[in-house]
Amino acid sequence: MGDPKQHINGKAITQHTYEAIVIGSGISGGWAAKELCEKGLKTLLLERGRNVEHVRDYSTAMLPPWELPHRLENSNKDRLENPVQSFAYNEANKHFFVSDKEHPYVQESPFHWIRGYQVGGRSLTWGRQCYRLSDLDFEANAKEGIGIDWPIRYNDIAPWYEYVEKFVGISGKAEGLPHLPDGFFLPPMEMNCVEEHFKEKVEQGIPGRRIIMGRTANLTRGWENRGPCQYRNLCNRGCPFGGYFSSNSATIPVAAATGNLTLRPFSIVLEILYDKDRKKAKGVKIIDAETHQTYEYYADIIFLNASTIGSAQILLNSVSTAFPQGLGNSSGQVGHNLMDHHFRVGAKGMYDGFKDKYYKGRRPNGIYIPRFRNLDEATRRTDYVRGFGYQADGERETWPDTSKRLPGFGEEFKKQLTTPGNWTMWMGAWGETLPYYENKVTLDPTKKDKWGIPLASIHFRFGDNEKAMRKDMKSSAMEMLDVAGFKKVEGFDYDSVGGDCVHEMGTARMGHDPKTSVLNKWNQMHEVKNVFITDGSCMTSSACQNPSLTYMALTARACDYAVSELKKGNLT
Amino acid sequence: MERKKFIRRFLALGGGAIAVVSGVKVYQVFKSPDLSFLKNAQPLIDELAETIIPATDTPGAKEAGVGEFISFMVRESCSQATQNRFIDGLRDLAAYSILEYKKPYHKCSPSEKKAILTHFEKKSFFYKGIVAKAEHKLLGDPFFTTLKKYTVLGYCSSKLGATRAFSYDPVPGEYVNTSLEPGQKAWATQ
Repeated sequence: MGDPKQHINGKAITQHTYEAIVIGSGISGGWAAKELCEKGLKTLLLERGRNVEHVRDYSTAMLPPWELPHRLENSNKDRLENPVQSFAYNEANKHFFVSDKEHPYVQESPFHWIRGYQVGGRSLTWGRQCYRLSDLDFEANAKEGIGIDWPIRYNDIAPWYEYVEKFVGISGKAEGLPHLPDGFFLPPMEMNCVEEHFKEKVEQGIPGRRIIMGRTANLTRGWENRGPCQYRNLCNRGCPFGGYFSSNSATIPVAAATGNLTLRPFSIVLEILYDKDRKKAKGVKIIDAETHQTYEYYADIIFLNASTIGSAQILLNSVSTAFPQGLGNSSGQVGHNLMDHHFRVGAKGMYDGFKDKYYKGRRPNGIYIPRFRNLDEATRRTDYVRGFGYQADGERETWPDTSKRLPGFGEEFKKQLTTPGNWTMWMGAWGETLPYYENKVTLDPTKKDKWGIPLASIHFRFGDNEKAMRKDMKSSAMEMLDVAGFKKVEGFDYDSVGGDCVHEMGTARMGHDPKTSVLNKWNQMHEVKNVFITDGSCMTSSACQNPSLTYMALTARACDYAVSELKKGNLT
Repeated sequence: MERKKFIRRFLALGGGAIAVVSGVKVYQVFKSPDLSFLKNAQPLIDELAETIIPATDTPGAKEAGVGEFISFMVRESCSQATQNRFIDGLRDLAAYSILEYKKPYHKCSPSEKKAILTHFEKKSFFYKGIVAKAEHKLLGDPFFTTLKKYTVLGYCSSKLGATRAFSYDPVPGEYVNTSLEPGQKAWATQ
């Protein structure tokens, strides 16, 4: 197999100077590598975990259920050794999640930090839902006096949404909603009969409510030599058909094809090195995860895409005389304002009808109910600000559901178990979380990992606004199911622990003012002009949309700006 | 959180009260489980699985090798309390069969087997809703619940079960609305 560190260009990494370094190969790092390589920069892509090559390393992708010894259930060993990751993984995808034992962190309050340390990061296991933010989101902080103002508006990012959508390939339908802008879409997936019924009844029964097909980075036709989706619904094992977007399937191969990419797995960044005379970062210091040897690499520009918590950790660990609180952290905001969407609240119900209807295929997508609260004066709530959207999905019960409901055993039980059950609808809300300064990542003063890096220590609590919103998230779901004539409607509100949604954001926020923010409107560090941060840490507010599409658009935009600044000589 | 409050209150009832009303031997639930017993009981587990999902025009649990899977999952995936209740349940069931029908379970007629398992199913329904959830957390799952859960999981995800009793379509290639044909089986996977 050879040395994995020589991957892609096939030659040993003896070179230590590049034009650009990208830290992290997840969904935003992959984009940074692609854009910078395509713009002709010799780029070093650093990934702390192992390599995962598209298709070749999707070891479980084609396994039928009976070849998984635990049939997807986690074992006692999983729960004991990986108390956090085992919440998120199953037997078929756990090789794309870290070992909690090997990668500890400190929970000052409960926070589930779900991670995938490998090339492609969590782009292999992401939920793939893609929604644009709008000015309702970009203006909210300023209008309500919460946190700080975003330094950009929708017009700044709109062309970049389009730019990334055209490469990613997102199936969906234009709906003309101002607060959930349309984009460039591949054909939408189909709703099934109960979802069509739900849409019709709810849109009739509740004025202004809209039910739309989910917008997902699953390809409904072949796109950029990938896909189409085969409707197996096994995405998070890695897709041998390239049916969904990941760094591995899409951006990294394109970056590599330019001949400008050097990918170095097993490279844990210890710190970004600062040159106080030039007032620029000069490179990075890494430790090889396997050999524990340290190396330095140098470049003109650095993109930090190590994930919201990982990037904050690197900045805080990059201490120098110029930046005793961490690189570019004179504002003291690095690590603060940590957000994650709150969810696991909604309702489910049963529909007594359509007994003669069914479907073929396993759609890796559901329907979406765009935000409908606090859009304008008419929809203003007095009990909370911002809003939430629902992901929902109608299906006929199969054995995992029917077996729990059906009493008894024997022939009759078997017959019912193997027959399609009732139509049901499940609706879950994803809610915006406000930026709270107190929710933060710091470095533990004493505890270190096995590479000698101080552990990330996380303090996180949802606030009163989220708690008030959850009541509405539950009751509005029940209301819609009632309106659409569903039976046995049950609301639910399980504990939503921070991190569970895997939408961490906010630890190096964008803003106008260097005193209160870390990044400017170009995702460029106010204080270190050749460092750009375009992962979730840049988010000034969380909105309620699934955030990855926004990271991708901001990354492409920042790369374009960075290279033009570099060419003008403003960054060296 | 209401549920948590409830569980605390449930705990405050005290083990004795729980043991009396539910028949769960609380003092035995937390002992170190005698997992080696599962090996001896394998033929019985195979029989029980077959009673839950019998061979009809499609294979039953026994042919699909579900019994071995149940033992494997009890060892691999269950809490100690659930393991203890499962093992005790097997012992109780074997004894009940002898006491009531004067013969071991596998020698019983289909209707006797049904009566025996119905007896144990009823015992498992002592608690409902939120109480059952608290019971699950504190005392593990009842014997019958574990037996049925892993029979279903093992059977429905086995090759014989998935491909013969259900419709298995590994690469559908599309998602489309269809009519349900008479006698059409449910999809094996979601």
